[in-house]
Amino acid sequence: MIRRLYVHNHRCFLNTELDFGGRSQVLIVGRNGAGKTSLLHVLTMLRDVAGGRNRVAEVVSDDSLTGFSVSGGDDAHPTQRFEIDGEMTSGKRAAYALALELPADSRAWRVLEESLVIADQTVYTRSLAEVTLNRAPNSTTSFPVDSQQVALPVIGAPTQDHPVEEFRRWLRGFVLLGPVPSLMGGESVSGTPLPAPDCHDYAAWFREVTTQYPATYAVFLSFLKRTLPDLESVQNRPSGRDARSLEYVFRGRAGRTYAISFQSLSDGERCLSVAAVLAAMSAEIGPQVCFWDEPDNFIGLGEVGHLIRALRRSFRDHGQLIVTSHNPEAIRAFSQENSLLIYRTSSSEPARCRPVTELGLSGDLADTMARGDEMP
Amino acid sequence: MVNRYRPHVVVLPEDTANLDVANGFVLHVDRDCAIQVLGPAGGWDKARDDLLSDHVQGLRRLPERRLVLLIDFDDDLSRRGAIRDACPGGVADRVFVIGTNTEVEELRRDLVGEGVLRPNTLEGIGELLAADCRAGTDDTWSHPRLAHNADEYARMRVDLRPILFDV
Repeated sequence: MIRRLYVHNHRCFLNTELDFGGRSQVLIVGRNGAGKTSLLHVLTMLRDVAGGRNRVAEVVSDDSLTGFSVSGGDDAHPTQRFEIDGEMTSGKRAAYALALELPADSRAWRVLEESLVIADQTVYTRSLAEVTLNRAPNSTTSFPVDSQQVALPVIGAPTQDHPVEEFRRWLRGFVLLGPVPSLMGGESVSGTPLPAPDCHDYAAWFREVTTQYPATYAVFLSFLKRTLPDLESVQNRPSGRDARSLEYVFRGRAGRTYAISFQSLSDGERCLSVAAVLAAMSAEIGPQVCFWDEPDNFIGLGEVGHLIRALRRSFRDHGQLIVTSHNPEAIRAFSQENSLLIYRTSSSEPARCRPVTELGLSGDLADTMARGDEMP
Repeated sequence: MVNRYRPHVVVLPEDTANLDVANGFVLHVDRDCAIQVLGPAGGWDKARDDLLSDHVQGLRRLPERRLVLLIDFDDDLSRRGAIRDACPGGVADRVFVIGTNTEVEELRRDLVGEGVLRPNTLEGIGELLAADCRAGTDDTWSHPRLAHNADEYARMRVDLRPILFDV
C-alpha cells in the first residue's frame, strides 16, 4: 500500500504531502482544480518510470512545473521532486525519491538526486550522473549514468527478488484508472496486463486478465450481473487474425438471448465493466494498489453507493483502494475516518491535504461540501 | 441498485457516526445488493420524521422492504416505542429501531478498552455486528450498550439475516 506521497513544484503541488496513514481504503475529496486528477498523473508518471520510461524528457516538461511562483525558491533554476513511500506486496517498506532540475544554462531537465530504500536499507543513491549501489553491508559500487536518464528502470537486478526489481514490480503493478468511456473500445489484437488510465485499451485488458487467469471471468460476470441482471455472458469473439471483439449477451423475453457489441454499451455500463475487471483481478490475482479518479463518473445515482461499496468489498481483505470523488453517494459510502480532503485556497496556491477527521467538521461531509464549508 | 420487488433492507442512520457503523456492516454482508444505506437523517427525531413522511409510503407499496433506523438512544429507551407506535399497521413489523443506549462513540470507547475493536474505527463496530448476525451469535449485540436491542435483534435474526447472509 502507498503510505505517503510527496510532490514538489509539479502541476498544482508545491511541497505537498499526502499521508495515507496506513489506510487500505481511502477517499480523496476536493473541489474542482484541487489536484485530484493531478495525483493520477503523478502516479502514472512513477509507474511509467518503473515500467522502463527512463528519459527525463518523457517524465516531466516545463509545462508540468507549478505555474505560480515558488516562494523562496529559484524560478530560474527550478527543481521538481517526487517521493513515494509504501509497503510492498511482501510487506517490506520501500521509499523512493526522484528529484529533477532544470539547470540555469540549459533547456533540458536532468536528474538531480535519486534514492531507493527498502526495509530501512539504502539500495542505491544517486547524485547527478553518479549512482552508488549498495551491494552488501559495507560494500558499495559506483557507476555513471546519463544525467537525463532515471536510474530506477536501468539498474540491473540479477534475480526477481532483488530489492530493485521487487520495488519496480510493485510500482509497475499499480492499477491507475480514470476511464473515458468514449475512448474505450471492444476490439483487441493482443492483451495487456494493465490498462492505460483512460482505458482505451479496455478490451486488451479484459482479454489478458481472463485468458491468463480464467477464474477471473466468474467474478467479473457476477460483479456485472449485480447491475445488469439480464446479462448472460460476455464473449470475446474472433473478428480477424489475432483480433477479438467483445460482445455482451443478454437474456431477453421468452428466454431468447441477444448480443450487443461493447460499442453499443452505455458510458455507465462501460465504467461498470472496468470495475468488474478490477474486482476480478483483486479476487483472483492478488493484492493490487488501485487509484481510481472519480469512479462514480457516468454511474446512475442509485448505483453509485452500491458500486463504491462493492469496490471496497473487493479490497476489504488485501490491497489498497484509493478513489477520488465529489459525488455525495460516493462520499457517504466511505467513512470520514477513511477520507482525506485535498484543497487549495485559490488557483495561485498549492494543494494541501488533510484527514477529514482533523477538520473539526460536524454533520454530513457531502452536505458540508455542498455548502462549501469544508475548507480548513 | 436493490431489486425493490425482492426482499431488501434500507438503513436510515441518524448521523454520520451511525452511517459509518452501517458502512462497516454492509462491507461484511454476503448480499450487499439487498441492502441500501441512506444518508444521515440529522438526528433521531429527523429519522423518525423521515420514516413517517417518506418511508411509510414506500413500505406500504413494497412489501419486501424492511427499514432499519440506526439511532443513538441518549439514555432514552422510550424512543423505540415512540417510533414504533407512530408506525401504521402493516408496516411496523418491517421497521427495526436499533442503536446504542447512549451514543456510538461511547460504545467505541468501551470496545477499544475491552480490546475488541481492532482497528479502532466506527466501521469496525459494523463489522463486529455483522459477524454476530452471520454466526447467529450475540457477542457484540449483548454488550451493555447494545443489550437493550435484544428483542429487535431477535426479530432481525429471523427476518433480516436470511436476506443479507448465506445461512
